Amino acid sequence: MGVPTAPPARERTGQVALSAHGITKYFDGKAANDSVDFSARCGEVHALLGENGAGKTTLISVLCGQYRPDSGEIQVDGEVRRFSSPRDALRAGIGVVHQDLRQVDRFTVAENVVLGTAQRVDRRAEERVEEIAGELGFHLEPRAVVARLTVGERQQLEIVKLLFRGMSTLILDEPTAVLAPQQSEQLFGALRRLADSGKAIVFITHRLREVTSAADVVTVLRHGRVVAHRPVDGAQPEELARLMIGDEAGPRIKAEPAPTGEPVLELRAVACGTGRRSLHGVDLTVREHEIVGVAGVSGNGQVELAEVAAGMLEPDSGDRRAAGETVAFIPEDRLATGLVGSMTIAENLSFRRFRRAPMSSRFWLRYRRLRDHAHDLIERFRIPVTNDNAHVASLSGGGLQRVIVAREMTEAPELLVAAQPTRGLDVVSAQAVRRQLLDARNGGAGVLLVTEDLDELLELSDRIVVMLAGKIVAELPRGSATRAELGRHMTGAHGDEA
Amino acid sequence: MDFWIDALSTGVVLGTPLAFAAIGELIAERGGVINLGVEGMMLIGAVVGFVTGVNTDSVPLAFAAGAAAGGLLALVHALMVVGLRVNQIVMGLTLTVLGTGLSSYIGADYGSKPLKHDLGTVDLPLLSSIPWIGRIFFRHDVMVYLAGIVVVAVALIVNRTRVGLWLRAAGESPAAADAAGVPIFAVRYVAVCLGGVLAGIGGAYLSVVYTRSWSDQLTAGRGWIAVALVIFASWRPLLILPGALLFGFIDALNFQLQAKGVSVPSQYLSMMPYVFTLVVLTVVWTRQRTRNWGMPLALGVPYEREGRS
Amino acid sequence: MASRFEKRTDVGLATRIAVPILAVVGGLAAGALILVLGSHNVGDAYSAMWDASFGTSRGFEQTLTRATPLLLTGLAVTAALRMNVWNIGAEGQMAMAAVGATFVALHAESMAKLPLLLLMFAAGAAAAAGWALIAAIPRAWVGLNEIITTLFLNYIALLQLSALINGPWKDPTVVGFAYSKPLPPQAALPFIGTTSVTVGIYIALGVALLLGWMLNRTRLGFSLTITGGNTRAAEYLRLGVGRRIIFVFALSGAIAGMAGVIQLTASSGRLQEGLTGNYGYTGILVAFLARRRVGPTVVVALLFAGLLNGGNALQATGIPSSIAQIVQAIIIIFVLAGESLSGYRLRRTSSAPTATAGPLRPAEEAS
Repeated sequence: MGVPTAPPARERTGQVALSAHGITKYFDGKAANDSVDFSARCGEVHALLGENGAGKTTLISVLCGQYRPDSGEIQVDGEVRRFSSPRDALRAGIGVVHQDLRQVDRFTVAENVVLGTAQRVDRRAEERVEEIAGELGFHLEPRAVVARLTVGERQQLEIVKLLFRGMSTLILDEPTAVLAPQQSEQLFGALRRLADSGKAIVFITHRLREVTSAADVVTVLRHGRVVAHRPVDGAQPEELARLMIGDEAGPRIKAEPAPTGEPVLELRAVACGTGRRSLHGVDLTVREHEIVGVAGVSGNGQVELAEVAAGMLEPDSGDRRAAGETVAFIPEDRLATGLVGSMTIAENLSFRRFRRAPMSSRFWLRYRRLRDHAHDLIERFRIPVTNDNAHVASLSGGGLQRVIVAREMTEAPELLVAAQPTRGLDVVSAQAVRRQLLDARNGGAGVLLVTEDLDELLELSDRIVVMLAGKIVAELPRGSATRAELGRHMTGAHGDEA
Repeated sequence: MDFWIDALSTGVVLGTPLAFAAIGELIAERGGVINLGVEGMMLIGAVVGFVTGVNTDSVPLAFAAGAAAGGLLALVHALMVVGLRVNQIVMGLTLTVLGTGLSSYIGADYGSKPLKHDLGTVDLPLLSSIPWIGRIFFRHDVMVYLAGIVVVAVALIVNRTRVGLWLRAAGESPAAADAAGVPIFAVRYVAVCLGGVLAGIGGAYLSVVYTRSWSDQLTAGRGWIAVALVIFASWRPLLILPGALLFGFIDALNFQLQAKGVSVPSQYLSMMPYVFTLVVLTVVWTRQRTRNWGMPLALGVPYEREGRS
Repeated sequence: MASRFEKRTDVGLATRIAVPILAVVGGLAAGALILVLGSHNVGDAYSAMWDASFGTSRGFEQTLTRATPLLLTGLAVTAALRMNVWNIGAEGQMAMAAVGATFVALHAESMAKLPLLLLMFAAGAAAAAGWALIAAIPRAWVGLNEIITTLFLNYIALLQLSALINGPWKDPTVVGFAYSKPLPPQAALPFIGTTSVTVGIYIALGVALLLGWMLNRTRLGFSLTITGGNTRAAEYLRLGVGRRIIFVFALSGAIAGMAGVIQLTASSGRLQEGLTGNYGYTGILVAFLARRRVGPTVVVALLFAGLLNGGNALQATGIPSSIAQIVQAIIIIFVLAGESLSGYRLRRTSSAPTATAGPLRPAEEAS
C-alpha cells in the first residue's frame, strides 16, 4: 500500500463525521462520563469546554479507542463502530492529539509518523512529511530525532502524524496548554485551514477565550455530563462560564496591595544545566508579604527556577540565599515529586516532621504521634479523606494537592515556592489553593508562584517576571501587565532573546 | 597454531547454542520484555529434543520438538507478564526453576541412552578451502550456518522492516506504539515466544549435536550467558555473532587447556568477558547516560492500556 | 452482555490469604497429575515428602537447616526491595562471604571456637557487603541498572570461588572432585542440643527480627521507605538518596553473606562449589512471594525449604527429586497469577445503546 495522499476537498461539509450517544464510563465507582452525547461535523471546529475533572479527557479516550465505555455507542459516518483498541479508531478515521504526546523519543520524526501505518521509512515518506508540514506552516525535519524537538514542534508532529494517515476527524486535548498566546493563534489558524478542507476538528479546552475566538460550536461538560451544546455565534460568554463551573466558584480572589518587607530569597547570577532546561544567570528577589509570579512558555526554565528557589536543585554557579529556615515547596508534579503513592495519607502528611520529636525519639518512630498530626491536618485543611490509612495514590488530584498544601503550610514557612499549584484541579480545590497562597502572603511569607495560567498570575501576583530561555527577560508590576504584553515577552517578540 | 585454530573452530561450535538463545532473548528484550527463564527454556529444549531424537531417530524432528518445548514455556512467560502484568524478573526466575525441574524429570531415564543419528558436517564449497578461516568457520554442521543466517536475518528485520519498527516501538514506548495503532500485545507475545523457540533450538543443539547425550543441567548455565550476551552486545543483533564467538572461544580454550593438562586457572579466563562488559558499561553509563548502551527504555515495564495517570 | 476486568485498588484480607493457600493446593494438585502421568504412586510420593519435610522430627530438622540460608537470602532481597533496589547478586555475595570466611579460617588455625566463628562471620559479611558495593556505587552515582551488574557479579564471584577451590586452596589429597583444604574443626557451628540443626537458624531468625524492627519501627526505616517509594520526594526532603542506596545494598549483601558463612560452617567443613546451592536466586522468589515483608518471608522460606527437602527424599523411592522443583515453580506461578487476577474485579458492561435524548438526561445504571 502506498503513501496516503491528501484527500480532495470534501463536499461533505456539514455532514456528521463522528457521533457518540449515551457514553458512560465509571472509574472506581464514580461516573467520569455520564450518558454523554457528542457529535462532530465536517468543516466545523467544535470546542469541548469544561473545567478540570469534568470528564473531557475520559470522553476523548473513549472516542479514540483507548477506553471501552461501560455503555453507549459510537457512530462513524452513520455506521455503528465498536473500538477495542486505538487501532480500530484510527482505522475509522479518528485521530487524537493527546496532552501527553505519545511519541517514541528515540525515533526520528519520519519514523514516528510512519509507525503503525503500512508505509516504510523511505524517501517518499519523508517527502510527504515535509509536504504536509509545509501546508500548515510547520517546520519539521523528517530525520530529526524527536527527543531534540521543542514541545511546540512535538505537537506539530502529532498533527502531521494524523494527517499522514488521512484522518478525517482530528481531536486535540488541551493543545494550548504548553503554548504561548501567539503560538496558540498559529495553531488555531492551522486548525481552521484543516476544517476548511473538510475535516472535523474537535479541541478540548477549559479556557473560554479560545472557544469564542476559534470555535464554531461548543459543547460544555460538567461533572461528567453534557450541560450545553450550542453554536458559538450568539452564545454569551458569561452564560458559558456559568454552565461550565456552576455557581460554586464564588467571587474570584483579588489580592490587596500591601507593603513588602525584607527579602526572604535572593538569587544572584544563578546558572545550572545545559540545553533547553537550564538557567543562564538569573537574578531574583522575593520579599516578605509579596507574591512574585513567573510567566513563561513551558520548558523555558521555570521548573528549574522553582527547584533552585526551593533549595532542591543545586545551581552550578551563582548564589542562593534564603533568609529563613523554613521553605515550603508545592511541586508541579504532585505524585511524582512531593508524595510517595504507596505510603498512607497519614505517613505522607508526616514527611516534614518525622525526623524530629515528638514523632521520633532516638531511633524509634512514634506512630501514635504521626497519626495524631495527620488527623489534625485533615481537619484543619479539610482534606477529603475517610481513611487516613489508605494509600495516598487513591486520592484525586484535588485531594493530593490538599495533602501537599496542608503538609507544607503548617510549617509556617518564610518562603513558599509553588509550581503549577492549580493545574488539573477542579474549581473548588483550585480556589482553596489560591486562598492558601494569599493567606501565606498576607501572613508575611514571600511566595514564588510559577504558573501557566495567566489569569491566575494576573490575579494573585504583586509582581510578574517573564522567563525565556533560562533568563528573566521582563519584570512587570501588577498594574501594568496585560495578557498581550506577557505573551509578547514570553515568545520573545520584544526582541528579548539576546 | 593448530591449537588456536582448533580452539577457534570449537569456539564457533560452542558459540552456536549461545547465538540462538541470545538472539531469541534479544528479540524479546527489544520488545520490552526481559526473560530470565532462558536457562530453563534451553534445558527443556535440550531434553525434549534429545528424547525425540532417541525415539524417532530424526534430527529435524528433534529440533522441531525442542523448539516447540522452548516456545511453550515462553508462552507461559508471555501470558503471565504481558497478559497478567506479573513482574518479569520473578516470572523468568520461576520458569528457570520449572524448566530445570521438568527437564530433569523428563530426562530421568535417558542418561545412558545413545543417540544414533549424527548430523554430520558440511564443508562449504570454496569458503572452506580458505586457509585458516576455512577451518574455523566453514567446516561445521548445518545448524552453525543456520545460526549465522538467523542472526543476520533478525538484524535486517529489526532494523529495516515495518515489523521491526513495531518491535522497537513496543520496547521503547508502548504507549506511543499503542496510540499509533501498533498491536503491541501481539508483538510482545510473538517476540517472547520466538525467544523461547530459539532458546529451545539452542538447547537442542547441545544435546542432539554437540554432546549427543543427556545429563542433568546439561546447559551448565549457558542460558544465563545468553542473557549476559544480549547486554554485552548492547542489544544490537549483529554484535551477537562476535559475542557468541568470544564466549564460545573462551569455553573451548578452557576445555583444550584442561585436555592438555595445563593447569591454567581457566576461571579467570572465563571471567574476562563479564569483567570487560561491566567496566565498559560503567564507563559508558557515566559518560553518556542518555544513550544508555542501547537498552530499550520500556524494558521490564508491563504495559497497561487503561492505566489512569 | 460483555464482561471486562477493571482494576481494583483495595484487596481484602480474605482474598490475600486465600490466594496463596489456593495456589499451594493447586501446585500440589498439578504435581500429583504429573506423578500420575509418570505412573508413580501419588500417595506414597506425597507422604514421603511430608515425612521428610514436616512430618518427622528428623525431617523437620532438615527443613530448618535448609530454611536457614534461604531465609537469609530472602531477607537480603527484601531489605533491598524496600528501596526498590533489586539485589540479584545474593548468590555471588554468598560465595564471596564464604571465600572471606575461609581465608580467615585457614589462617587462624589455633583460634578458639567462638572468636574464630565471630571473626569468620565478620569477614564474610564484610566481603559480601564489599562485593555488593561494586554494584551499589555505580547505581548510586550514575544510575547504572543494578539488575545487570549484580547478575554479572554473580558469574564473576562463582568463577572466583571455583578458581580458589581448584587452585591455591585445593586439597591435594582429594582426587577427582574439587574441595578446598579442610577448615580447622573449631570452624563449625554448634548444634542445638541433640538435634541436627545448627544455631544458624537462631541467627537467621535474629536477623529477621532486627531487620523487621529496623524497617518498620525506626526513623531510618521510614526514610528508606520514602526514598524507595519516590526519589524526588526524598531529594526534596534532603534524604540522601545515594547514601541510602549504598547503605541498603551493603546491608543486603551482608545478610546474604551470612547465609554463605552459615553454609560453610554448618556442613562439611570445606569450601565447595555447590555451596551457594541456588539459594541466592530462590531468595528473590521468596522475597517477592512474601510481598517484601519480613514476617511472611519467614513463612515462605520455611515452606520452600520443606518442599525442596521433601523432594530430595523422593530419590529413595525412585521418583526424581525434580518433582519438588516442578511443584515449587507451579505454586509460584499460581500465586503470581492469583494475585494479579484478584487485583482486578469483574465488571459487567452493557453494550446496548441507550435511547437517544437531549444532553440533560439523568444517568442510567449500567446493568
